[in-house]
This record gives sequence, C-alpha cells and structure tokens, in this order.
Amino acid sequence: MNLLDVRDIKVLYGKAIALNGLSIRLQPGELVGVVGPNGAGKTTLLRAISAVVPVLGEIYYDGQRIDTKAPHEIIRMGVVQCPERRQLFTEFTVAENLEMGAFLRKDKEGIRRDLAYVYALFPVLAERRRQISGTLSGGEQQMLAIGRALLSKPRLLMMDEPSMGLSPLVKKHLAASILEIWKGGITVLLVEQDAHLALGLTQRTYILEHGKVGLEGESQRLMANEEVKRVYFQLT
Amino acid sequence: MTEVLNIAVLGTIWGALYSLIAVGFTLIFGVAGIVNLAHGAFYMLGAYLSYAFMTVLRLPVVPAALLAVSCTAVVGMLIDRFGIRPMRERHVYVLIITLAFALFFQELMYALFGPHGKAVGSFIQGDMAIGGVYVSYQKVLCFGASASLVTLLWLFIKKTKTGKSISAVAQNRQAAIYVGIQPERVYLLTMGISAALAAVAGVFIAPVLEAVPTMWVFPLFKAFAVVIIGGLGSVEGAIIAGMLLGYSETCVSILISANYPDMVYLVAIILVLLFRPRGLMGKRAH
Ligand SMILES: Nc1ncnc2c1ncn2[C@@H]1O[C@H](COP(=O)(O)OP(=O)(O)O)[C@@H](O)[C@H]1O
Ligand SMILES: [Mg+2]
Repeated sequence: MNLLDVRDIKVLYGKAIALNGLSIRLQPGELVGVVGPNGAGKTTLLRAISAVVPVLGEIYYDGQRIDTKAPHEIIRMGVVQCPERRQLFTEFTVAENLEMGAFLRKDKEGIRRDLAYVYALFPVLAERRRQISGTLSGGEQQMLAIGRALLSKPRLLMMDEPSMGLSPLVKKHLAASILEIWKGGITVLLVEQDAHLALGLTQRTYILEHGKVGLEGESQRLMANEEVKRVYFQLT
Repeated sequence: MTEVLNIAVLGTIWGALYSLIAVGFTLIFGVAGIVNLAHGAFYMLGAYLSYAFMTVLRLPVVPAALLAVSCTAVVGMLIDRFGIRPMRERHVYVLIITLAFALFFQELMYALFGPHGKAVGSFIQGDMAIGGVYVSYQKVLCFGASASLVTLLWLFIKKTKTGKSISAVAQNRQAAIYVGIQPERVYLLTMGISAALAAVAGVFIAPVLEAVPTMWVFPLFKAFAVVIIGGLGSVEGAIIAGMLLGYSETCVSILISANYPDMVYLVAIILVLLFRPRGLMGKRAH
C-alpha cells in the first residue's frame, strides 16, 4: 500500500494556480526527491500535504484521507515537515527548539531517546544546546531544523530545500545525514533545487514544472536523460 | 530624605501596578499582533464586577475578586473568539472592534451603575509605615499581587511548555504550526491571561481610586506608554518600563507638582520615539 498518495490536487493562491492537477505517490521506506525550477510548486506541494493551504483534490496517508485534517492532526499521524528557510524559533536556544519539536508528544521516554539520537546525529547541536538558535551558522541552523522535525517523531519526513544557502562541503555532510535518517527507517520526501544533490541521493524523483509533474522516474535514469541534463546540469 | 523614601515606596507600588497592566497588553500584541484598545475595559470590568459581586451578591471580598477576574478572563476570550478571530488579519478592523468593545462596556457601566464613582470596599483596612512612609494596607496588597502575578507570568512563559508555545507563536507563527501548535488556541489563552491580569489590577486599585465608567482610559494610556518605552511585545521591557514610569511619576508629583505626573509618560514616549524607537527591550519590527 502507498504510504502517501497525492491524487490530482489543485492549490490556488487567490486566482493564481500554484498546483494544477499534481499527483505523487510514496511507498513506505522510500527516499524520493522532488525537483524543479523556482516557482514550480514544490513548497506548495509540501504545504498542501501539511494542510496549511486549502487543497482541491485528495491526499491519503497510510490509507486515511488527510487533506481534510488540521495541521497538528497530520503531524500526530507522523507526517512532519522541515520547512523552507529553516523557520527556527530564533530567540529560543537549540535545546528549546528541539523541545518544541516534541510539542505534541507525551512519551517522555521516547522524547529522551529521540533527543539523544539527534544529538548523536549532529554532535555540534549537543555542544551548542544552550546557544540562542538565531546565532548559529547556516549549516547548524539546518541541522537544528531537521533535528526539531525528528523530535516530532516522523514516519514521513518532508524536507524543503535543506541545502539552500549552504557551502558544497556542508551540503555533503547534510546529504550524509539525510541518508542516515532514511536508513534509520524514516520515509523521506526531499524537495531540492539542487538537482545534483537530489538525484544523487534519492531512488526516485519527481520533476515539477508549472504546478504538475513533468517527468518522473528512477533518479539514476533521470540523471542520464538528455532533456534533464540540458535543463538542469548545463546551466548549473 | 523622606522624599526619597516616599518616592521609593510609592514609586514601587505604582510601578508594579503599571507593569501588571502593561504585561498583558504587550503580550497580546507580541503574540497576536493585536493592539487591544479594550485592554483598559478589562481593568474596568475587574473593578466594577468585584464591586457588584460584593454589593449586589453580597459575596465576601476574596470570592468576589476571584469571580470578577475569572469573568473578565472569559469576556476577553469571548471577544477574541467572536469579535477578533473572524477578521484577525485586518489590523484596522481589530483596532475598531476593540475600541467598540471598550466604549460598549463604558456605556454599560454607566447604564448599570450611573456616572458617579462607586467606592469599592478594601480587602483590608488600615495603614502601615514603611521606613516612616505611611501606606494603606490595600496599596501594599496591590503591590504584592502585582509583583507576584508579573513574576508568575514570566515564569509561566519561560518555563512551562504551554508558556513556551505562546512565545513560539510570537517568534514565528508558521514554525509553530509546523510543530503542531494551534495559534488560534494560543491567541485565546493569551487574551484570557491578558484580560485576567488587567482585571486583577482593577480589582486591587478600585478601593484606592473608586470605579467610574471612564476609568478604562487611564490604564490604556499607561499601557501604551509602557510598551512604547519598554519595546512592543517585550514582557521584560514592560516590567522595566512600568517600574521606571512609576518612579518617575512619583518623583515629579512629589518634587515638582501633583499636576504634572501625566506629563511624564508623554515626555518619555516622545524621548523614546526620538532616540530609541524600538524601545528599551524591543527586538524586532512588527
Ligand atoms: N503565499 C503565496 N501567495 C501567492 N502566490 C504564491 C504564494 N506562495 C507561492 N506562490 C506562487 O505559487 C507558485 C509556486 O510557488 P512555490 O510552491 O513556492 O514554488 P517552489 O517552492 O517550487 O519555488 C509560484 O508561482 C509562486 O509565485
Ligand atoms: Mg520553495
């Protein structure tokens, strides 16, 4: 069964159509990429799944319809988003940001375990747990944003352009961390503008254009595809 | 020497009261972006309701006070839920609707209790001497309540999970949604807390100043002054600025003239706007 099934959805901002009949599917345990040019609708797709924008069409998670639910209910079901531009609580410390990630949880033991996991995954966060998060470097802020999402206990983790604004070296570390999170058993939907990074990391990829899926397939094959090469790799 | 003591004692009492009035005003602004012109009306409701519960229902003073504060908190939440929520994004609308509520409560008090001041019974009679300065027990009690509630509020926001969720929404509403916080609930809670704190100020000060239908204006002005001086949305700033205002007003009224204390906050507002527009503790532009 599909873990996530987005069926032919439309999203409008006022009169502007951001998503126009978009469908994607994820199997449990997959690592799937979504790439596409600026304005293609990647962020809107994640917003739709998280139910923070009104959606026309249907979205199913684990067999249940979720587009009619509230954002906090969807998070409770295990669909968690690490949003674009990190969106940290910049006046809170590192530890407080992580604590807010566990806002909906009551399982103290589980929270403690997940906190230890995040600190082991990103040791720099442990060192800086008392530092105000707004003063972290870009890479550290991204780690914290991912860590906070992990504390919400995702089964499906959606990341929106985690590599934005990071240096090549930091991107490499980030990619390794994403792989490790995925190997830990979390299904990952990775939205990226950096097509190299996404296609290199994921098993399958959706390429969005103008609010729908333009191309989809195994990431390896897409990387060899002439059209994709022309559009994504010769310009960068 | 007695003047210094006088200023110290009375300034502390008034400063704590101003802080108590202003923290709620700054909190709901910082969290929900609401400039709540009905804030002074909550203070008025605290005063009138405790009066009504004591005289009409003949309740003892403590239950009357508690009931007055609870009722005002409920009124605040109802205003948020049904008056503000439908149009929360429209700031001018929110200004107008909260002003409308303030005027409505003014007219309601006028209709129910008449235009003249109502003497509200003290919690406790008598005076005490603090270093040679005589103050009524009521004022001392008012200080105790203000100081402890402001401290409790601060601890609540800094230390508890629910309190931190209020701060989280104030910092980044979108991020708060992505961790599962429901901003509408936070707004409702914040409005309840804000109204309750203003009502406490009204309950404690009513025996000192008596209850009149226009009494909502004074705390609203003070709250404005305090948040402009302290920094919009900053609880710490409101506490510091509230105390500063208390001392400087007392200073002026004792050393210069009892007619001028109101000039103090106006001058302070002008100075702050000229030299430090974001206020003493202000962080971000809203
Ligand atoms: N809040 C918004 N209001 C109006 N239009 C928006 C808003 N957010 C995004 N859009 C528009 O929707 C389209 C898709 O945007 P987005 O999902 O952010 O794309 P991407 O993440 O792929 O860059 C773009 O045309 C963008 O201009
Ligand atoms: Mg985007």
